[in-house]
Amino acid sequence: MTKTAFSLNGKLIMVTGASSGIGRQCAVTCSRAGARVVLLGRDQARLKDTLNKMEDQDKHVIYSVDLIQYDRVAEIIKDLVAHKGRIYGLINCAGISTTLPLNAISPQKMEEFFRTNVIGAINLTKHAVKSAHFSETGGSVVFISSVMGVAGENGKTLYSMTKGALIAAVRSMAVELAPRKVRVNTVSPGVVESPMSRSAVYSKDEESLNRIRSLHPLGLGKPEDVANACLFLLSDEARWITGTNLVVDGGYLAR
Amino acid sequence: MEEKLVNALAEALEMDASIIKPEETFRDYENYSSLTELSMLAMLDSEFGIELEMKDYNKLKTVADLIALVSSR
Repeated sequence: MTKTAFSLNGKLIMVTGASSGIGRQCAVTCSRAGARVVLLGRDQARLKDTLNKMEDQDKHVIYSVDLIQYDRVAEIIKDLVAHKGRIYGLINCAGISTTLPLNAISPQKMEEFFRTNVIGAINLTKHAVKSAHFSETGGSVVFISSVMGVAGENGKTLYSMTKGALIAAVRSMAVELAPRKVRVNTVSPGVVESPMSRSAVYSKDEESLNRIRSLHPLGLGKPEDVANACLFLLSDEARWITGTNLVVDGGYLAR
Repeated sequence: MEEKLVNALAEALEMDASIIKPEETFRDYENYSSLTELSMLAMLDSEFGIELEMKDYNKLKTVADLIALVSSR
């Protein structure tokens, strides 16, 4: 097993958006830390691709689901706990992104983004952290936000609105769940080399990509840079950290 | 179809539809930018159901090219 700095030995950790990018890497990293991982995503075949990259493959479980099927999410959590035991941690990675000027944004688009990036994640969290489902000694929930949740950029209204909402909601969840020692935090990455960023408009030509690179003093990130931050927040070493937003951006916000 | 395209183009570029002429190069309009270009692509998708790759979009030059595109679908 590849050694990680922090341990999740035997703990049950859910990862959404586990079929690609940051979510896929979070699943792999958690498995290296000894966790039993629950992979959630829409595409069964791509979830299996993730599973193939993980340690101790027979310990993990896959659920193919679209998180905006709110009722099915509730059923999955019940089924999971019945078969695998209580949940210790959750990393909410599933999300969508776009670059569109304000002029081109419709109420329908706003609702679609809010459903996928915010409501789907918070609804899943609600069911996961129920007393009947979650570790009785506490645990940790992480939401992947973005530097766009606290800073602005052309055409990022839709994305920023949802990522800022997560940062705000996490603070109240952290306060509400603290008596049960359930910690809740966001991780806010800058631009990471992933399918999401490769399909983004700034990747369409070298000039645009160089501009984005120049905004990150340490260069663009890799999915493991974000997954390592999530692993830390899930681990016992982060036991006194809740309600915060851990920025992992290669210096983007330092400028 | 021509009127619908011209109105949608005017909306995407936030300009007056009455000054748009078929023979004009739409990238020369004052409000055209890398950002309004995204509005154009979103408009073609939402209003006309046309999803274009950048390489195909880049071949379009004039308003008439856009009219021909939406009329052909």
